[in-house]
Amino acid sequence: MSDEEFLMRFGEVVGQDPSSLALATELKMLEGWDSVAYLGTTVMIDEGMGVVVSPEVFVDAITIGDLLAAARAAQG
Amino acid sequence: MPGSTLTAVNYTLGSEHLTYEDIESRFGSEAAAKVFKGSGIRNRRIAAAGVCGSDLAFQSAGELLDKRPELRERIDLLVHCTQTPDYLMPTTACLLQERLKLRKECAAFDLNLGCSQYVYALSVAHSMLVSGVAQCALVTTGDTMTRTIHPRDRAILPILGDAGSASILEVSGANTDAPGFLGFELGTDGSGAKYLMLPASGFRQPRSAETAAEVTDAEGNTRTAENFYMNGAAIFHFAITVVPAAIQKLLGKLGLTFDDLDLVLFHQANQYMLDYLYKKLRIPPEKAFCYLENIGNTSGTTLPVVLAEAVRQRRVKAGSLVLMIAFGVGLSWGATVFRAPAELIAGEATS
Repeated sequence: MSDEEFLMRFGEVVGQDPSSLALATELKMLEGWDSVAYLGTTVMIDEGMGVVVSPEVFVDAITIGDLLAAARAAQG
Repeated sequence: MPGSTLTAVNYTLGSEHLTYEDIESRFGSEAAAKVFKGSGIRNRRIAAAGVCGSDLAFQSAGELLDKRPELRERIDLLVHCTQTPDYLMPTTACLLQERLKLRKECAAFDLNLGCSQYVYALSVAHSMLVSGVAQCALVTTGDTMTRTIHPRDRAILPILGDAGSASILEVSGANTDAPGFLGFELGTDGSGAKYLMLPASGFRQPRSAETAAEVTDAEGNTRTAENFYMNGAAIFHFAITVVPAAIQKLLGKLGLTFDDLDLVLFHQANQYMLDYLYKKLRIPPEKAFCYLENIGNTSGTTLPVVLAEAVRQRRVKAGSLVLMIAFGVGLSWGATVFRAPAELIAGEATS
């Protein structure tokens, strides 16, 4: 999944216009980044990239880019 | 070797209601909407003050025995599943044997598991029936998990409900086309025990002033070490990883595919999770059935509830091949496939 597609799908999960998001955007700055968004992000990554990311990813990630990096790492 | 089959299932919900509006007034409309979006649970059923899980199981079993009174003399095995027993000792199953007026030549014991309890209990009862240890089994479930939740835990309080159930298993024919259980797949991953836990609830961490101290997390949920804790993200990860694998393993073992199944029933944890599992496994709507929107996640009783409802709504017919899978506290999971008998009693309804 490309960076752009990830940002677009992530924007849908957190209910935010993807054009306002960048890989460097900090998750804590997003109003929609909560426990429900964790589930949505897990599903989005599983459907789009075929991997289920570890729940620790949501604790450790600081930026949107960290989520994408963790998903790509899980792909191997 | 004979088989065993489920011939009756019944359930009892807590008599009190915790509605969407109650959650709104307690936590605000935004929080109520978020809970509904994330769980699909609108209303919950809660046990009245003083009512134990065993009382809900007792009522369910009593109703079945009223319908089939001859079973009182035939039941020689009672397995009661609970994590909220009447007492640490004696075993709640012994109390139920007396309350239900079952004969004394009846083995009775508790099975301490959470969400996976029903499938585990079915596997134990099935094993004891086919080996000749028992002839007729009563499997009951009953929990009041809502009592363990902190009143200001907005993540968990709107999810859980209280319920009890009763099921009857009887010896059946050995033919593979005969009604009965075709097989089980059970599993455990204790490394995830910390993700679903009631920490200060036993002898490892006795209750104290420290365990009663309130802590509020980043999302504003307050709880103590004496309250139920759940890491939702970790459990979601566990479910969408383990459930597909366990189902594939069971179907492979039995030489079946999804095409052979008539109905697939999941532990009713969370509608969002269930929708995704059905989608991920490519299970079509006609083979899916859920029942939690107005009762909540009733922990280990969700499977007998959803099974009984499926029978009542004519989704289970004679010969239907039904897969059930439960997963949760432990972490623990169990799956089974059974062929429905010609007559499966579900409380007031019969298939």
